[in-house]
Amino acid sequence: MMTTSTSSSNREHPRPLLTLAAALTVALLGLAAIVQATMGLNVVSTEDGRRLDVERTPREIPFAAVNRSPPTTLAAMLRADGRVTIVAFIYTSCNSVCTVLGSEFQQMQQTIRSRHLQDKVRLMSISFDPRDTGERLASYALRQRADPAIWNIVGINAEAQRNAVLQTFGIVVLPAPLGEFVHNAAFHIVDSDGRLVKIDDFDMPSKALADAVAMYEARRK
Amino acid sequence: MIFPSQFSARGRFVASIVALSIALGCAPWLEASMLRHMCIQFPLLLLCGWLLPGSLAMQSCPRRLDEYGITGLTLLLFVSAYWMIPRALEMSLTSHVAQAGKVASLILLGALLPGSLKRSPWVVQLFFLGNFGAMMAIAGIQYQNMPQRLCNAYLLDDQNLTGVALVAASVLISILWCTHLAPIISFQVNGNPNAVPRAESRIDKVTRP
Repeated sequence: MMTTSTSSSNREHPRPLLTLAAALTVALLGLAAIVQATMGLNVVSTEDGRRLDVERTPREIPFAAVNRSPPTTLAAMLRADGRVTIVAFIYTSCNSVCTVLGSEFQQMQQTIRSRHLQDKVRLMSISFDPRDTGERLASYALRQRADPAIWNIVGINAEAQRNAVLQTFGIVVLPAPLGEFVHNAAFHIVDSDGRLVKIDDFDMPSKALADAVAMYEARRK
Repeated sequence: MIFPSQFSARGRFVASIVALSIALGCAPWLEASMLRHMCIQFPLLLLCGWLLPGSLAMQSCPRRLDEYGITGLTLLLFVSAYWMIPRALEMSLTSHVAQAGKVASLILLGALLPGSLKRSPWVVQLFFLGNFGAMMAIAGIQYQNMPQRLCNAYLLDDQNLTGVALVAASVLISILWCTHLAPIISFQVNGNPNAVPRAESRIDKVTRP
């Protein structure tokens, strides 16, 4: 004769309903928490979450003075002339991904020129490294052959303002071996009102450019 | 398996506080690496709850809510699944609410687990711990296979290493469970070849032959 744990225990506990209700409550709360953390079962990584969040709710860029002459602010530059801006974060002593981003921007600058998009789209590199003074940024611009009409390279001197900008964009900078930094590199598309509206992967420059142009065209209509 | 009743109340209390102080006091260091965050801080918080003197009371109090340990083991599945979501893990670094939720949920889980494991028959344990182990191993394999970083706050090497540790932990937990349970099953199978171990066969009550 087989005795199962269920039959023998049911005699001990005639009412398992309380346990079932408790377990169900735990499961429902757990499921709700998981749905919340994955933004509706859409993302698992922080970076995908940041991108989805920006697409759902565009972000205003906070006040930050940039180290250029004449002095100006980041928001003023981004709203200057109705162009859409593709922003990338860099540090000039970088030997890894920012060099890639730099050459991506070089190629995008070429594409913008050859397709005559310079009235629609602009590129901007923002340094997150406090060691990047105006001089260092200028020599970086020279090295990258940045055309100031298309590609601006700026730094933010005040630490609080720099951090506020990084936080708004959702950039996390980690110190890595050999004095490098690791950060979530991407192309950030900022509309002509100076709002961060979309983030594209850094290995898809043509998509970033297409998105930026589409955004400009959509605003014109 | 170590159950709180094996220690004196004062010893448990001291050990519990020590675990909590290390988990919270060294939080900046522990949380600076994904491996230390998941494989040192999490177990410390679980241990804190596990050893909490109050957990003895909690073992008897929710008995009617936790027959066969089903509620506590369901909590194990959901709490562990939640904190293995990289975005949830990173939110605990950037949000105080998420951080408090992490500490509270892991301590609560640790406090409930000893009672739940005591009350659960081995078949129930097999189901829940099997799910838990498989989930942790799959997450660990994913962490190792991802070419991109899952958390912006952690480096890729750290993520890969954490993946290895999660797989190792799931294998270790499975082995521990098997070695702990083997005497019960062999004892019962020898006693009656057709018998399925019953609800009363609680692994803590077994004395080794």
